Formats: sequence, structure tokens, C-alpha cells
Amino acid sequence: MVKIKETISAFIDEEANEVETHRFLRAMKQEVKDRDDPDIGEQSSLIRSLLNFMSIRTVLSKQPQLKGMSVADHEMLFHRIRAAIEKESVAQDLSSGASLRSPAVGLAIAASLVVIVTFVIFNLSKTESMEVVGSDSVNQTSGDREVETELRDLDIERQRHLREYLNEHDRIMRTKRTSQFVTNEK
Amino acid sequence: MRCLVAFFCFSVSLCAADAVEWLDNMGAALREQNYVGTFTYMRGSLLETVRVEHQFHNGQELERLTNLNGEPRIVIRRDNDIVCHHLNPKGGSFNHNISLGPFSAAFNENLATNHKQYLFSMHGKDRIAGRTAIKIKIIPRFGDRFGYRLWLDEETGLLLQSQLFKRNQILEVFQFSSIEIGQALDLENSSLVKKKTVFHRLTADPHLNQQVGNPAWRVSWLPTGFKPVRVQQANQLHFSDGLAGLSIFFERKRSTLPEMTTYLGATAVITRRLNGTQGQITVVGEVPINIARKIAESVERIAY
Amino acid sequence: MSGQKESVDKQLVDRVRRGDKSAFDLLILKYQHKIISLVGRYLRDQNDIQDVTQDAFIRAYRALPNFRGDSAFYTWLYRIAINTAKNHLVSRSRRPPNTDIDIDDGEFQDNSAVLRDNESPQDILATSQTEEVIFRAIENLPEELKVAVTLREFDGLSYEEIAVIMDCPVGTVRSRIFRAREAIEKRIALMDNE
Repeated sequence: MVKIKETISAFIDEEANEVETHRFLRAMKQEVKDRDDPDIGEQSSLIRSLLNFMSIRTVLSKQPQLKGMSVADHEMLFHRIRAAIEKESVAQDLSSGASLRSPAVGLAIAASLVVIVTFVIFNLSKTESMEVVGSDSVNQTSGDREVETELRDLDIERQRHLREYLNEHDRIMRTKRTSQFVTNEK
Repeated sequence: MRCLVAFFCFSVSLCAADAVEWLDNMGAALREQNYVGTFTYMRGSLLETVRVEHQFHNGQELERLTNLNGEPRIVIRRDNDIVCHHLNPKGGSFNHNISLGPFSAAFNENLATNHKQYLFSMHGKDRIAGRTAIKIKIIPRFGDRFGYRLWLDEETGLLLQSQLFKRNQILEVFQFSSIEIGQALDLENSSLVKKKTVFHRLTADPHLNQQVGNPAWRVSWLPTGFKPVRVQQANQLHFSDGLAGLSIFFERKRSTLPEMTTYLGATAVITRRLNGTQGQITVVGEVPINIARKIAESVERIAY
Repeated sequence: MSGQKESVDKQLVDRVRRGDKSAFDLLILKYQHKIISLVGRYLRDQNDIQDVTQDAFIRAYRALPNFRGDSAFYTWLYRIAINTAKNHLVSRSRRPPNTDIDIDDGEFQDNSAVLRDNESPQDILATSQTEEVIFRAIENLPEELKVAVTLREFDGLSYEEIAVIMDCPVGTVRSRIFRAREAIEKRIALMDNE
């Protein structure tokens, strides 16, 4: 939880990387889902934290703020807007690849993709405490297709194709000799 | 106070100089030491355990890498020529992955230590695989590349352990669990692969001359410090800053790959269509994803 | 810095365009405060301001397939919000202002004078209390957290710039800023519960 909140803090500063943003997005989706679930109820702490952090910014950077609008009001407004967007049809990009819009291909991709974005905390007592990217699978929603995934979670054909590049990259980078560095090439 | 500051600066520069000297040793040791050992290499979700026998004789490297996990295969490397032997030919799909570990023979100490993109520092001693190791930390000055922690054998400078990290996240780990250094090896005269195998050459035959055409495309943006690596193929470009590598592959016709971003450990893989053409490019490299994306977006067609 | 900013928004926009609606949630959360401030310069009634803010986001969502990415996402959203506010004034038979608000003015000018006459004393009190809690929380922060968050929020410096000034790794800056915000957040929560 602390880790994801730190990501939120970095996100509002434009300092979260793509993988972190993806992780945050996933956590937020879960939170919104839980909120909509009457058995779980309202526990929107990530959204509340983000709005709190934005309110702190508004005050500290002396941006004009709407007097009397509390963080809770902001949160209510956010859920209102989100509910209204939910009723809208999907804002698909007309210019994106036609093949991906085909329902059959879309379903196939959705079915075949399982994303592994994982974060196993290693206690590296010999060094500083660090986080190691490991493995933990999370089901991918169809809306997430084409986002960054670990290589092994792609279908066999794509993996094969990309592994050829990866192997060639490894071969060149890990076997070439000093003399093969070019000093002045454009 | 001034004396203190001066002493501090002097200590820091001495420390960096020592680190650079150790990296010099590492570059040479990676090529020129004889050693036998077992290492693990974790890259994202990929974890490989490999037995390595490395010999340097008459100016040539000869290395046998035996994969101990998964499909049995042996990789024989003679300098830059790599052949992957599959010991179980009926085993189905062949994976020709080459687990050479980080840097390997390509490590370019001059390039890595001369440019100003990294800060080098020494962090005392440690014990890895039963040997005393010197700890070195290499951190990027800016957020456009990753950092490294290296544990080098105190006696020979050989790399015993490394971590590739971004901020507080470790993305790749390489570690010898056992190693013997300096003994005489006779790989040349031993049978490198004892049973019949299906083999796959991972390098172009060094005796074949390749025809190189004019490149049809160019990269207009790269992070500072990356220099081209010469490869005789018009459809690919490779760059390195001495530690991290970058490769860009070009296909004239659109492939089966959609535009996508993926990664393996610290290695980002991004596929993009090339504007105004049917062509497609793939960027592969040990750089943050946003940097790989920026490089991909800078690739453009050359009009002759 | 700005390059990276555009890049994060662009990634989120790309996700929305690929059908991932939840990515738009992050864009709402990120810009909701700014859009409210902007709309608040045209309108006075709190309910109107919230309605128009909502309308602006919906219009942006609908128009997203046409967003070409020539400008930053916020610049584009900003134009939509201004037009939505103006349309709202016209529909209420009120004349929109003759001059547009500059994008920076929309963010940074103090509009308290514009809004003062329609705020209740309770509203003003609540706002000043929040400000006071935030400022007091900052004063009570350990020095290193205070410096980090101040350089970020008052001076708008990037983590890299702060790392150079504070002579520490970027990761430490990131952690300090987060810890500072978390401490302030706790104080706000205490105030809400009182």
C-alpha cells in the first residue's frame, strides 16, 4: 500500500515510470470495482490520497481553489464524472489498426494475454533494501491489450518474433570486441 | 571547513579513480581469465542457471555454457561465433537463448568510464561464492539509463555478482554460486559436445561476406554517450554506452507484430510503424521504457 | 521535464483510445483541480462550476479520437473547458468575458476576489483551516522532508534538480517528497475527523 502511494506521489510529479503507472492504474481499477461492490463498500483510499496530494499542491503552489470545496467534494465529483463517462460509448481511436478492432482478434488477444507485472520484495541484507521484478500473474482485461507486458506473456508467435531480436541484441552487445565500437559515425 | 571540503572532494575523486581501475581489470578479466563455475542470471521472470567453462588461449576465447535448467542445451562460443546445441532434438520447440550474463566480452571499459553519464564509487568488500569481492556502484547522473552494482573478485577483477537497478528496483541479477579461477583448461582438445545434437548457429558464418546496402532509415535521437557498434547489416543498428546496449531492427514490410511495448527484466522492446512507409522498427535495449520510446519515435526514413 | 509530462499523458490517452476507459480516470484525477480553478474564473455558482467541469471532461472524452497529439493533453483539455464554460454562460443568457484567460493565469492567478461574493462564511473558514493545517504540517516536518517538498511544490523543481541541490540520490528525493505528503495528508485527515 505504501509502495503504491509512493507511486501516486511520483505520478502527480510526472516521475512515475510507465510500469508504475500501469500498476497504479490496475490498483485503482480494483479500488473502483470494490467501491461499486455493495459487499465491500466505500474504501477509496488511493483516489482519496491522490486528491489529497493534489489539494496540497493547490494550496502550496497558490493555485486558485474553489472555496469550500473539500477533498470529499472533489472525490464525489470525480465519481460523478466517472459514472457519466462510464455511460459513454468507448472512445476508440479510428486510426488504430483495423485488425485489432476485429472482434475475433480482440477476443483472441484478450484470451491469450496474461500480464505478469510483479514485484517480489527481496530482503537484500547485504545491500540496501530493494525491490526485484519477479513473477506474479494478474489477469489482463481486454482494455489492457497492447500495454507493456513481460515478454513471456505474449503469444508464442510474437514471443518467437521478438526473441529473435532479443537474441541478436544480446549476441551483438555481449560478444563484440572493443575494436568494433565506431568512434565517429552518424 | 575548506580543508574538510577539499579532503572530501579528494576522497571522492580517489574513490572514483579506484573504481575505474577496477573496471579496467574487470574488462580484461572477463576475456582473459580461465574459470569454471555456475552462475544464475535473473532477468525479469526469466531465471537461468548455467555452468560456464571459460578459457583464454593464444588470444582466443573459448567458452562452453551448459544450461542446467529446462531444455538441455549447450552453447559454444569462440570469440564472437556462437553455436547453440540442443541435446534433446525431439524435445519440441528450440529456444536459442544465450545466457552470457551481463557485459561479457563486450564490456568496453574505456567507453564506460570515460563519458560523463555515470558516477562511480567503491563500497568496501563482500563475500561472493566463497571469494572476497570488491563492491562498486555505478549510478547514472540522469534518469535516462539504469544503474549497476558490481562485485568483482579481489584477486582477479572477474565479475562475481551484478545487479542492474532503477531507483530502488532491481531489474536483473547475475551471480556466481560457485567458481574456480585460474586453473588450466583444455577445452580445445576435449569433445565440447559429447552426443549428437541439433545445432543452430547464432552468428552469421564469419567466413561469409555479407552485402551491406545503404541504410533506408536513421535514428535522430539517442541518449548522450551511446556510440554505434559496427555490424554489417543494413537492417539493424546497434549502440552502446559501454554498459547498456541498444539495438534497432528494421523490417521493410509490416510484420505480424502490432505496435507494442514489452520488456524482459531491464530490456525494453518496442515495436513501431515507421511513419510514411510500410516499414516497421523494433527497439531493444537496457534503457527505461520512456527512453526506448523516444528513440523509437526518432527513427525516420532516409530519402536518397 | 515537460517532455516526460507529455509522455505520461500521451500514454494514458493512447490507452483510452485503445478502449481502456479507466486510463481516463487518471486524467480526470490529475486535472480535476486545475479545471475547477479555470472554470471558477468564469462562473460563480459552485454547482455550476462542478457541472461544467463534468461536462468539459465528458466532451474531452468524446472528442478524444480526434485528439491528434499536436499539443499537450492539458492544453487541449483547457481549451475544451473554456469553451464549455463560455457555452454555459451563453445558454444562461449571460455574456462571456471579452478576453480569454491565459493558460497560466487559469492556473496561478488568485481568483479569490471573483469568488468571494458567493461564498458562505463557513466555506471561507473551511478553506483557510485547510490551508492552515497544511502550512502547519509543513512547519512540523523534519528538515529534509520540508526542503524536498518545498522545492517541489513552491519552486516546481524536478526530482533530478532537487537531488542535485540536496546532494542525494533521486530515489531519496522521491521518498522524502512522498513521506512529506503522507505526513500532511494525515494532518488533513485528523482535521476532517475533528
